[in-house]
Amino acid sequence: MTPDAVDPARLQFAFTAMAHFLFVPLSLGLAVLLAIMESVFVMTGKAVYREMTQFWARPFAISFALGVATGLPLEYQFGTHWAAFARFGGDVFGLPLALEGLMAFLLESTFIGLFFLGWQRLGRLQHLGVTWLLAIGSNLSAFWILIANAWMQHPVGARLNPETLRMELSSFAELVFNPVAQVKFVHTVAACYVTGASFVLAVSAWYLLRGRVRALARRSFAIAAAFGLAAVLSVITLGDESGYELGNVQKVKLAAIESMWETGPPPAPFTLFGIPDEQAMRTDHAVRVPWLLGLIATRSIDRPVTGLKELIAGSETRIRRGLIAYEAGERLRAGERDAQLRAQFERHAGDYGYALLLKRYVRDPRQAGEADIARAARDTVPRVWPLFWGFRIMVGCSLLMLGLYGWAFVASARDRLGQRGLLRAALWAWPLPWIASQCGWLISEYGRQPWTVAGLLPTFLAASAHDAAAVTASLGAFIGLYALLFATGIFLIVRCVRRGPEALSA
Amino acid sequence: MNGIDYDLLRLGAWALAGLSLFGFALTAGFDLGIGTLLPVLGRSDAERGRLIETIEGHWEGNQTWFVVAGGLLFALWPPVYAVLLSGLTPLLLVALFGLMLRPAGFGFRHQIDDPRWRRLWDGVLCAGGVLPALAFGALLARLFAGLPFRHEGDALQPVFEAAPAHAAAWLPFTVVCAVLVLALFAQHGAARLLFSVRGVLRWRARRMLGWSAIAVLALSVAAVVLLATLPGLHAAGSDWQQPLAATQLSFVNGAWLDRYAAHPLLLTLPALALAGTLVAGLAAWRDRALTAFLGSTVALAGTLASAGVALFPFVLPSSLDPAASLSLWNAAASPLTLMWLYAAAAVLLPVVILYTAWAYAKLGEPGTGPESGRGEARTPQEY
Repeated sequence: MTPDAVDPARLQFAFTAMAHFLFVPLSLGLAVLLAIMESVFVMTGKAVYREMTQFWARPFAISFALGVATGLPLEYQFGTHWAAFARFGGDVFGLPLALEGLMAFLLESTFIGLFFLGWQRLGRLQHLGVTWLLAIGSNLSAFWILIANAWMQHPVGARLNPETLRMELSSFAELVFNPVAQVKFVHTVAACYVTGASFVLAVSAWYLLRGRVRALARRSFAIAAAFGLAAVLSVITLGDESGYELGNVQKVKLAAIESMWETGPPPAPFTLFGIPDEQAMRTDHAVRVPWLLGLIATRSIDRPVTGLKELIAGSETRIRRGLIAYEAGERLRAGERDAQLRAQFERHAGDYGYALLLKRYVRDPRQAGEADIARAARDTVPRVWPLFWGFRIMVGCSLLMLGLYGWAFVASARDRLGQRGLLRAALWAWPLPWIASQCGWLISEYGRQPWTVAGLLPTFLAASAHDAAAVTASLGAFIGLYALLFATGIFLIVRCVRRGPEALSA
Repeated sequence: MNGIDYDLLRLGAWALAGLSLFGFALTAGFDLGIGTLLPVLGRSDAERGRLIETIEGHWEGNQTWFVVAGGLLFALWPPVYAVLLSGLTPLLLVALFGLMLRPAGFGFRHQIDDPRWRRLWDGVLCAGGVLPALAFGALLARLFAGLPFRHEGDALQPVFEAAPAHAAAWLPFTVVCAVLVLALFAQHGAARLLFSVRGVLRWRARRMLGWSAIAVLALSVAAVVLLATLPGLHAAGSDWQQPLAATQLSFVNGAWLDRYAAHPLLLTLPALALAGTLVAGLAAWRDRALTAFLGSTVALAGTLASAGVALFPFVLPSSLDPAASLSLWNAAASPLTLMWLYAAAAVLLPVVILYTAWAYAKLGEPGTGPESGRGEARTPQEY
């Protein structure tokens, strides 16, 4: 085993996943917007809406191509670079991925051909149906992927088989109705809608500022403003907060996001600003808003939000319980057939992964001393500052967007799109949804550390047995290819926007 | 769940995995083949444009079979997914990089109306056809060679060790298989073109179909001859249901052909593969599109099934420790996961086939379609 290959493999996954999520939210948001625009065309029969649909379909095509290209290595990376995870969790985690392919991605990718080439070959209603199926396909795709991701965050509906050391599905319903997945799906998909809306809003504002294609730009602006406002409200209100109340790992994530080291008297305050000091386990220069966090996280005024120190102490307990499960599991695997032993394993199987954390320090967890257990318990907390700041940047961007969309919606509803201030704000706000969603994934996945599967499989044990040099080389190849593809794609999107809808009829 | 039911479920995994690989070969196979043949058949910008036009409405859905097959392999046989992909990561990356070039090739090619720009993306599409085909062929060969892995104690990772001495002997077979898959896809692509193209392109496609059929026949024979001399996993006592419980697993030269010796009826599968190729080649000569396409489809299915049967019940042998080999008995997912996968496949695959057929019916043949009747020519800007 080469533990030094784990970090490049993590970096590679982070790079490819975050790069994938540069274009996926744009495509997903635009797909729904295209379906809305075309619906208006079919209902009103006004040619401008068809022109709109066909124009916005062009950046969509480029974005979709990049989303598809960058999606391929994600599925296969679980096998190539995370073999231990694939073997351990594939029984459960692979299922939603397989369903995504069968149910969603085939639908989406079959209908995209019809969408682009079918304008003359399909009736109006048929083509509208195709567009909606394309949009529904991309949403369904996100649904299954987020179920898979949510299982890593909160592994429900499965049990660990001690003989094979593989997870096995115990309830499909629990897997699908994982509360983390439900919240995450709405949150993520709404964030994608905001991204699509912000692109349309910014480009339309640019046309309006220059006095180009006014009829098309005004209508596009209005649709994007209304759709974006609804989406940004969903992102914020249906946001992540209910996910926090679940398993232990999510509690650690919440406390790390808040840089909350102590469990204080309820309701907990929200730290607006501060400098986390991880060595001393405290937050300096903190500016706190009383009550706010307690209200958000527990939806009560009498329940505390657990601080990191208490959670670390809890992790120590879980490591000890995990050791009982580990011991029982080793004996079962060695062939002992004892009902009591199996019961002992089952009772503590949920903490099995906590014993595996000790493998960072000792070859056999059963040989671990008190110092090892203390260090492993401390390892259950991810580095705080990226989460603390990532969260604040994400929320800041969301609030800015809420303000912008409120303004844009009111202005377009009252037909006052002449305000250059609004148009400039809409134009320059275009990066906000991307910053917010990249921060969101950082919080979600970095905040899951040190786990690949929360509480069950530590990340440092989940990778493939590759050489660090080989992984670094493939990471370099990915960066090189993505740089070329993205540079070309962005150049083409900018070119398409500059030429504008006028080029359609040319 | 009693034992017999789980046996059936595990056999089903073998069938469903095969079906998804066939779905990929059948649909994306001709897209990759046409990509490979772009510079050979299309000598001018307009000719290459015409070739790409025949597949641009459907390639995306077709390539998605790669994602479907990957997801199914992951869920059906998690340990195979883990060991195969991590053991052959460089090959996988070649296939992935090739396939990743294709969305860019198709998506960007139309964006700028300039022959030099299109020429660039035609080259990219060609590479996107050649690289995955070669990589898939080599992957198939490596299934027979096995990988040097075993499982150790409580280690969650499969452990790989330096390849044993006989690994070098597999090189010729690996090269033959890689080129064989390239030839199979080229044959399939050329056969697919007969539905669509006329004139000089059609003449070239027919000639290419003939040559690729000859190549497929020669390479298939070479692969079988080589395989007869190479070590295969032999299960003494041959209880095919529990080959791993039998401790007499060993590598014996030519053992991968044992199953055909024991059950001569199975020889129909390789015979079908060869017959399909012959039919495709003859159809090229007689200029019959449907016959050629059916022939090359049977050739793909026959080749895939022949390889699967030769390996059966193994999926991924270990060249290091035969007892660590992954078979459809010890690699399968849990009964519940398998049942959900079958239920989903039973409901969704017919739906997929229906809407794919509808898409083909509606898009028809680009350039021959109804837009001439509606008086609106499709301009490059529309895509």
